[in-house]
Amino acid sequence: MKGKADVKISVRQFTILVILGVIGDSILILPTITATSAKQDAWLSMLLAMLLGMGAGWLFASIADRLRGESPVTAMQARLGAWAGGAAGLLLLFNFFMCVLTLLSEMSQFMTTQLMPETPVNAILIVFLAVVIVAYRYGLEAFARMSELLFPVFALLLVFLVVFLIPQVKIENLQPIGRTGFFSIWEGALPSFAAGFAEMVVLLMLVPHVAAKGKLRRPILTGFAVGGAMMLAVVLLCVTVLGPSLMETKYYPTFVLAQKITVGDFLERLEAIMAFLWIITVFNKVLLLYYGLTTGLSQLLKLREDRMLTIPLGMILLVCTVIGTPNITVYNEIIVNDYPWFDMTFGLALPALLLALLLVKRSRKMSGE
Amino acid sequence: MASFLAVLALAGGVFWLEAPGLIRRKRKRELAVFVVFLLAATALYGALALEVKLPNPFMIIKLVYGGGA
Repeated sequence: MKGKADVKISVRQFTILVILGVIGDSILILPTITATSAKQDAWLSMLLAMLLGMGAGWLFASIADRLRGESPVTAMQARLGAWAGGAAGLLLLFNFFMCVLTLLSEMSQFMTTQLMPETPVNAILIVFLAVVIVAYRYGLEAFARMSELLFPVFALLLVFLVVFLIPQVKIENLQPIGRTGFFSIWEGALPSFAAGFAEMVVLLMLVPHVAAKGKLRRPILTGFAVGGAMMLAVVLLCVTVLGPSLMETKYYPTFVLAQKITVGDFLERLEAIMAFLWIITVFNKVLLLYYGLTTGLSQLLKLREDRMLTIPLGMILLVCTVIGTPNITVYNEIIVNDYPWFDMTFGLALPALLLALLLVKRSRKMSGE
Repeated sequence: MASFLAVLALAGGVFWLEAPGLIRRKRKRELAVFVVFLLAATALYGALALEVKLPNPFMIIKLVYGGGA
């Protein structure tokens, strides 16, 4: 078995993991959230979120380039000492944990309301988590390669969706532009920014394994820009094809979007494509967060292996997802009102502190040499 | 009750799968952490199977950011 430090992924694989992570669960839930407050200006919200996201990308890249092959968890412990550093690392892991819960909740809600209404949630979660655990146990290299393999499929399906919806675009749906006012647009942008970009703080866990000679600023910013542009395209299509009122009332507008496709009366109801797209991106993001959680935990506790943690953690995640989602209304209320602020604290304030720490204090290990 | 027994069987299976390797490689620390996590997971899952009412983890966020539940 290879040592953990030898696990390497290419810059290209890293970029793809970031792109798929940014799209993650956003592709299915964000159109509703942005349209609820910004109506026909949902796409402006997304644009604003993307601009803010590039700022977050810049922050993460600044940290990544200063970590020099260290994981954020070990870096904090090396600089703050075992206790304070450990507490900071634990906060980061808590963020990953809650993020996985939201993704699993959304995935199970989507499956039970749209695709498999008779199947119990537990069964769906068990199968999904089993795949995540197996993927983790194969290692980072294996799932980075898998994402590389899935990405062209994903991009092709997305292009397919866009091309076949273009005939149904109604530009009138965008008008009047900017009528809802800046505050509504801002209100829509905040959760989009939090769910799409601030949660990607998990990419720092991958940084020690990227085989890059130069800086990581470019791959991170490219990943954020491409992922953000894809999200913008999806939200724009939702507004122009469905219109803001349908976007707001349907829980999964992107899914309805795919149902709208008709090609010459023989290619109809292609929502399975949408489901496939979404499962690729959600699986990828869950895997990233689960990787961050498990690896981070083993680094925090200074363990030499982490495979034995995978199944117990999976069980804990399953139970917390089931009790965390008593019904869709309670869940959505928390997600829209309180969750973005949680994401901001742990996805922006905590990394900002880490960056300050990296700038001010050198690692004890390094200064001791 | 049947589902509770299934959870116990699952926990036993996981232990049987992971523990022998850890013991053979003399990973004491890893084994201890594994047992703690497995016990916690089994307790949670068992409580779910017995339909015990558990606190919602999202309520932590609501308490901190929403100004009280």
